[in-house]
Amino acid sequence: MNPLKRSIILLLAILLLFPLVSMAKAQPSLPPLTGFDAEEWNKLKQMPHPPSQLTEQDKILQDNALRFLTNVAKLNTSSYHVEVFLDDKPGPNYDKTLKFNFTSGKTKLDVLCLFRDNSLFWCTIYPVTGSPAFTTPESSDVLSTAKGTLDRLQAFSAKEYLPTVRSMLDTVTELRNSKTTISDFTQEIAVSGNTVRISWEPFANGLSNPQNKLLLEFQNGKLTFFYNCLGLFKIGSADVKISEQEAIQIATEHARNYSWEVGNETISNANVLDTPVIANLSLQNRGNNILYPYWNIWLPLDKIYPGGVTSFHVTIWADTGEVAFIAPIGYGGDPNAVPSESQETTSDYSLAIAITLITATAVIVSYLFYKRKR
Amino acid sequence: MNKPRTATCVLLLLLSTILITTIPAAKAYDYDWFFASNEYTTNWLQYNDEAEHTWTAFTQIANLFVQKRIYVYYYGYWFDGGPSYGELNNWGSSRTPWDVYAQIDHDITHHPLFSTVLYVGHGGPDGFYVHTDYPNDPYHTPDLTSFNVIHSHTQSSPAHQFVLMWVCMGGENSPQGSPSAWNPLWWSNPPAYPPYTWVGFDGMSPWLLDQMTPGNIFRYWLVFFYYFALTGSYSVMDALNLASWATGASDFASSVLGAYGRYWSYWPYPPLGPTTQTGRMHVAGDPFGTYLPRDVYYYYG
Repeated sequence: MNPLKRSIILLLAILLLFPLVSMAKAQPSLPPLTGFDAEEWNKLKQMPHPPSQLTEQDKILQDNALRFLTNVAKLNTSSYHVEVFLDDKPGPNYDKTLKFNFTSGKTKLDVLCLFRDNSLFWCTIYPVTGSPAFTTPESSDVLSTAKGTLDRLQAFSAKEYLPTVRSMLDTVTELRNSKTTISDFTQEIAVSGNTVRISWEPFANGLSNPQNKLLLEFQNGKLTFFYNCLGLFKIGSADVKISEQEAIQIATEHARNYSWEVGNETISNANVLDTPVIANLSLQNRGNNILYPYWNIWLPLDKIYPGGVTSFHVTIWADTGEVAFIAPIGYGGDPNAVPSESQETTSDYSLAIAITLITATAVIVSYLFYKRKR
Repeated sequence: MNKPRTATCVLLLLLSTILITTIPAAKAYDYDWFFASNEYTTNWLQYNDEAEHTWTAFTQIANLFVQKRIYVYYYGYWFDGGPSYGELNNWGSSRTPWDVYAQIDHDITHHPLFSTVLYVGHGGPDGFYVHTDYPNDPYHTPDLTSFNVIHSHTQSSPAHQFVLMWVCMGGENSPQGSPSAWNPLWWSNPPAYPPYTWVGFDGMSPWLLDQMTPGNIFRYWLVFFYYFALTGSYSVMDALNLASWATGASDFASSVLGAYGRYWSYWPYPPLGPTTQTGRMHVAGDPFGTYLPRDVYYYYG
């Protein structure tokens, strides 16, 4: 058999195999998953992950978390059946997480703990069903509960700043929305319904960062969130060298010079209005967990531009004047609906490539036949 | 012409064809078993970069879903039985409201155990938009996928147990409107049905390309959310908190999404404007009790 015939037979064999490959891809070659009732299905669904087998090192973390829950949050951990789930894939600024499912009769409690350098710094305590069992009596005095929590936190894991923030809380006589600065810390109290959040962050010229703080949250008088990242971040500078007016001017210039694409069209020279401009100042992480002052500026445009653009969001480092981010943005609102024709379109590039290649193959094979015939 | 060389070229072409068509990718499929995941968006009023960010987020999220598997124990061995999300669709903006309603019916019939929906785009308290032939005309609105119509399709099934509507409004009158439209049975008597959570917005929803904190845009938050919601033993509430921590906040409540006045845009025309717009993410239902299913372990026989 000459090489051409052999090649053609091989080609035909491959072409015949192709649908079989596709079928194998489309259907797993396992027995059909039938024959189990809805209860079994629900059981499968409700078990997202089997409880973890912990290493000795992980058991130390588990003990640490349980001691925190017992001694600081005053959760009556001994009255619950506990399942533990470990996620040992490191995430942003944490090494491991432990998830606890506490159950007692119809009461269920979810606890999630984050660890960094084997230290607990983040813990949420959420009642899923029923009322959680605490070893402290029910109290409507959240302020006393907060003071007690700080005392127990110091006993659990002493930190040099804890006495300072504890004494700051002593100056409070009533829990209401407030922000006060004493010596090195700014204390903020936020009350919303039955939820009270009290946070302490290093004083930085009145500027805040959403992560650089110690935070306690209480719901119905019970600790539901503990968060302590004091020490993780450093304040590089809190000096604002670019004023609000200067920042808005820089932002406006950059917005006027910005262009964006809509289909094949380039849009530029957007008309930025003078008002209403929104400018916020905060401390933000410029890298390596070092914080610097940062302007967030939103600029209005005179009309809706192609692509739905109605404004610009520009951010500027307030110590250098460097533009960190700029984007034309829009509004996802809903002008009065006018029904229009709709059309189905699909795009499947893999299929298009496959068809092209098969067509090319067919053309080449035809050409070879043609040549051989001649 | 050198025939063996030509034949080799042909062979290589064919092999590459087979290779390309067998590369694993999160493409739409339906095995009519277990769970279902649907992603929708619109092509209305999105410039190139925003559309690209939506497409990237959808691709990454679809890939997270497709990685969840069924493991079957069969005659002494564990087999990979295929994706536990037995139906996965990344519709893009290529569908009409009637396709959405038909898909809801299909999910209720074939994936009653758990179905989930993600929409990113434009809309309001009455519904959301899918495809339009006039993508850059702000006054030529596409057909509305109506929450009232969705409600009429879902009133006998609690199949939809997690819904994320990244679209303006929808949460203000919760649970009326969008939150209850997808799963009215749960709202009628929560303890009798599997936990359900709706996530959407009060007021304005931000664009995915917009920034939350330096180096973090809303798209990252959205993908992080699904990453955590489909990982380990995290609940929807855990995932909201962890995604917020990963993008520069202590938790969800302190994040840019957690309260009004932390992100803004502007609308220049009456009757709504000219006015600045803000919003916040609204979480309704049972985020502590809702878990997105992930790997399933099944003993067969």
